[in-house]
Amino acid sequence: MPELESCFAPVREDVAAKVIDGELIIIRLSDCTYYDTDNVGARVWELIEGGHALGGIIRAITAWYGMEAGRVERDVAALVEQLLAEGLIAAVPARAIGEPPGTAPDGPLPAYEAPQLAIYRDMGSLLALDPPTPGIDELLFREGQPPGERA
Amino acid sequence: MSTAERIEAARVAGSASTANDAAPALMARLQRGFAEALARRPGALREADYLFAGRPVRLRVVGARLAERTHRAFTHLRRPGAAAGVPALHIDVWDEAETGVAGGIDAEADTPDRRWLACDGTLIASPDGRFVGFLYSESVSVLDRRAQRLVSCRRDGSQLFTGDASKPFILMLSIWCHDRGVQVVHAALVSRAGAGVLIPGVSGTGKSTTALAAAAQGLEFLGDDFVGLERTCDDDFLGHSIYDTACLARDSLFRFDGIRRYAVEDRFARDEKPILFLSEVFPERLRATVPVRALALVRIRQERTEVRRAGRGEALRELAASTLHTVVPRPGREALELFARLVERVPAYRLQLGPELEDIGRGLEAIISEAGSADDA
Repeated sequence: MPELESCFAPVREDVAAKVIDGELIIIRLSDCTYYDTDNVGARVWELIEGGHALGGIIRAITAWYGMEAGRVERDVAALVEQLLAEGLIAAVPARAIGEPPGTAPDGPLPAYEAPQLAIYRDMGSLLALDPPTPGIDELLFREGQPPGERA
Repeated sequence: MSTAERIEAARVAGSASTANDAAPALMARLQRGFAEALARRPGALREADYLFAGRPVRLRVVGARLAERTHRAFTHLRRPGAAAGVPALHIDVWDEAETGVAGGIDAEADTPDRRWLACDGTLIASPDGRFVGFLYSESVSVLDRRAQRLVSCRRDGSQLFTGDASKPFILMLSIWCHDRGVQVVHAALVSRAGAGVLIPGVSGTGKSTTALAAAAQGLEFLGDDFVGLERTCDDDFLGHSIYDTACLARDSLFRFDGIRRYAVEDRFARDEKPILFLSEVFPERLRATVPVRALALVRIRQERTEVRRAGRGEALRELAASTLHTVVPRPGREALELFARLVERVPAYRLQLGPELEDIGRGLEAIISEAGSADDA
């Protein structure tokens, strides 16, 4: 299990993620592997993005959901390990971020459920040709765009 | 080797490629080829002006048979030259078989530019990304993104694959659209009275059946597979038609009694889907651009057609999964942000498709009505 003092951050160059209505969608851009999770998983992701240490994240989830700390610690640590293994987050130096708020920032939460990260590799593997289908970022051309068009 | 290892190996190989000028040289060669084809067969030139995603485009084709087939998919976007304005893209294409001018379709297999396998062909790009080319067994195309010119040679205009006939230049147009802030999405698009319903979905979810059933029921048609999505400065979303075609599996097409006689089956297309050019079926029901007012997430093989409201997360998941895995070049972070904003802005519905085609049209009508009411409120 990662140290409680550890901080993590999304791997920005390879990850696009969005939380909407409590549902988290993550895409690993290099191969379009697609992930989703909701509720507790989405909260954990937002707290990771906020720069909080693992211990702070566990304490926040425990408080927000009124759960027993030991169970939350196991669940959150397992999710963090999975995110690390998938290359979606990486350890970063600790930052001087305070503790997360004692109550969830946007009101009542659904019932606690252990976070499950669903992984969709089937279609991603279609793109993993040799070499793989390019992303638009690999075909960037910014020079000479006509006025009024995108920069 | 795992997927991640293959990708990493490919990346390393790609970055180690010698950067050279193969793509610009190919473009120069294609431009010479087009000029020669035009000089040899000036009477076989067919040109027309269009609005693609609202931008003027001039398409010139040398070769009567190829011209007929290439212009056909864009019929509904045609505009008189004066109304179209100065072209934002010039597309020049010639037919190698009809003109006798070789395009070197088989000659560029070993170009050492940045290259990727994509869509059964090879995508190449100059180091600065200005030139992007696509090498395919039956064609070769290069897009100059600075000059806004696409030049292409087709081996034989009388024998086109279904994809070439139904969605000409899709890969190059996806890049051109991206450069204009328009994201090509894997979705059908229909509308009523100018209110668009975007229907995303991976292959086999029922997009084409839904779009065609809608058109048959009197709704407006903008696309069955790939359409453009553009966010305006007013934070509104426009859906742009690209092609007037619909491709349906034969067993699905069989359900459309009054329409199936219009289906076109190419010589190369025995194992592929027949094509319907809807400008020839419902010319009055084709639209070029509409505001997107709702999302419909479709599923087939239900006992009866049903509509229910869908969550935004569900809508984002469907939109992202369908497009991020199918559109080339692969959209990235910007596209996910675009999709997220769209699902925040417009309501999403789950449309379970039953066996009665008429019910599909009614389901879409209900979605448009409810989305319109939500808008008014």
